[in-house]
Amino acid sequence: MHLDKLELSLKNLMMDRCGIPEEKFRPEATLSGDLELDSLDAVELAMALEDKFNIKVTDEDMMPVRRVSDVVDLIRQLQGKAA
Amino acid sequence: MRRVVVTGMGAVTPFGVGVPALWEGLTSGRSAVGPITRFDAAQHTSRVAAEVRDFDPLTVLDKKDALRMDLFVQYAMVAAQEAVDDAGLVPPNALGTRTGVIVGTGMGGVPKLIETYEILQARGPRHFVPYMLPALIPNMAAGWISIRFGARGPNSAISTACAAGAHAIGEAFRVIQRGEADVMLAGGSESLITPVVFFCFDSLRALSTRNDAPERASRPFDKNRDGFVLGEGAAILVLEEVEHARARGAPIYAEISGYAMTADAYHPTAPAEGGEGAARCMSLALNDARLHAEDVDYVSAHGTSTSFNDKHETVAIKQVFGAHAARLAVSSIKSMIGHLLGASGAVAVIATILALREGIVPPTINYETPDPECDLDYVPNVARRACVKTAMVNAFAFGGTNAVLVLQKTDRP
Repeated sequence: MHLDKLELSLKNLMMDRCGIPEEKFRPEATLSGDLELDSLDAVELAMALEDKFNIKVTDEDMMPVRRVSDVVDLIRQLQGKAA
Repeated sequence: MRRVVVTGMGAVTPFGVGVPALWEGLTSGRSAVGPITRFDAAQHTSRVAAEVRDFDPLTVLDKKDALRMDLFVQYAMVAAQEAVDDAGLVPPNALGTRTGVIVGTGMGGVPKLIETYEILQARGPRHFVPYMLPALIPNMAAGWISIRFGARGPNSAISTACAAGAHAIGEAFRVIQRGEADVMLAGGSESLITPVVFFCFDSLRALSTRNDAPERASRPFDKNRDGFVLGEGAAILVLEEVEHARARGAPIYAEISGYAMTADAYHPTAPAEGGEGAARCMSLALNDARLHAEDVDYVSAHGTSTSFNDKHETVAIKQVFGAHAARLAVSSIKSMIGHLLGASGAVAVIATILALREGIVPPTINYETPDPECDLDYVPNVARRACVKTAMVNAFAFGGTNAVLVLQKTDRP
C-alpha cells in the first residue's frame, strides 16, 4: 500500500501515540470500527495531531471525521488555514 | 477457619524481571544499587537508587494499554502475569467473581502526575489529556489487573506507604478467610524515581548520601548506615484457599498463617520509642497464627538502613522474642534491592517464601561494622543454608502504621 508523506507521518503518529498496530492502518479504515478508538481516544488523537502538525484542532473539526482518510484531509485543510 | 496458601508469585525488581532473577540476586548477595540514571540527579543530595533496568512492558502489554499506564501499573501488570501463569490459573474459567485483587502502593503515579502538570503549564488547560488521570491514580494497578484477568471479586488498593504491600497481602488473606473470595491477587507496586520524590526524601534527610559507592549505600543494622536507598518494582502473589488449591492441583508455595496491623500513634516519621507499635504488631501476628515466639526461625526485617528504624526494630524484636531473639536469623533484603516503599513488603514476602522452600536465608549485605545497639544475627553478607519452617515479615511506615505477616513452610506437593 503506497502512502504519501503525510499519510506516513500520520501512521507513525497513530502507532506511537495511540498504539494502533501497523497492519490496521489504511486510508479507508474507520476510527471507531476498524481501529476501535472511542471518544476519549478521539480527543487524544486531536491533541497528538496538534503536537505533530502544528495545527489547532477543535471538537467541531473532529465531528465529521470517520475514517483515516478524513483525518488526512483535515490535517491538509488546517495546515492550509495556518499557512 | 479457612486456611490460605500462596500458589503463584511474580515480581519486577531492581534485579530484573521475574522471580528467578530476584532470587538469584538475593542469594548471590549482590547489590542492585547504582547511580541514578532515570533523571539528572547532579544537584540532589542523594544520587543513588535501585532502578529497574531493561524493562519492556510490551513483552506482556499491548502498546495501546501500556501508553495509558504509569510505570507502577506496568510493573504490577507484568508481575501479575507471571504470578497468574505460575499459579496455572487460566482465565476466564479460573477467575471471575470469586477472585479479587488488592494492590498496595505508597504514592501511585507521581511521575505521570508531574508530566501532566508540565503539559498544563506548557500548553494550557485546553490541551486535554484524557488518559492521564486513569494512568496514575493509586488504585489502577488493582483496576487494570482485574480487567486483564477478569477478576470480578473484591477489589481494593491500600496506600500505607512502606507497609502498603504487606497490608495488601494481609487484607487479601482476611478476604479469603472470611469466605468472600477463593483466590486473591495481592501485592504492591511502586515507581517513584523522579526528582520531586527525591527532593522530598532528601529534605527529610532520609536517604543515604554514599554517592561515591552506591553498592555500599544500603547497609541495614551497620554502625555506619546513613539512610535508605530508594528502589522501585512490583511483587504480586496469588493467595488461595487451601482446599480450592488442592482441588485443582495447584502448586503450593507456603501458608500465610497470621497477620496483624497496629499503629505507633507517636510521630509522623520516627518510630515509637523501643519500637512499641512494631513489637505489639509482631506479637499480635504470632497470636493470629496461633504460634509462639520460639516457633519462628527467620525474620525478614523492615531494616531500611536508617538510624532510627534499625535500632528500634532490633529492640522490638528482642522484646517480642526474648531469649529466642539471639537464635533468630534476621535479615534485610533492602540491603540489596533498596527500599521499594509500597512494594517492599510484598517483595519481602516472596523472598521469605523462597527462603522457606529452598532453605536459604538471604543475607544483609554491607554489614561491616557492628552497632552495639543492633546486636542480633543479621546473616551478614553471605546467604546461609538454614532449615526455615516459620518466618515473619515486618513492614513499618511513616505515620507509625505497622504490618506483620507470619508464613509457614508447607510440604512440597
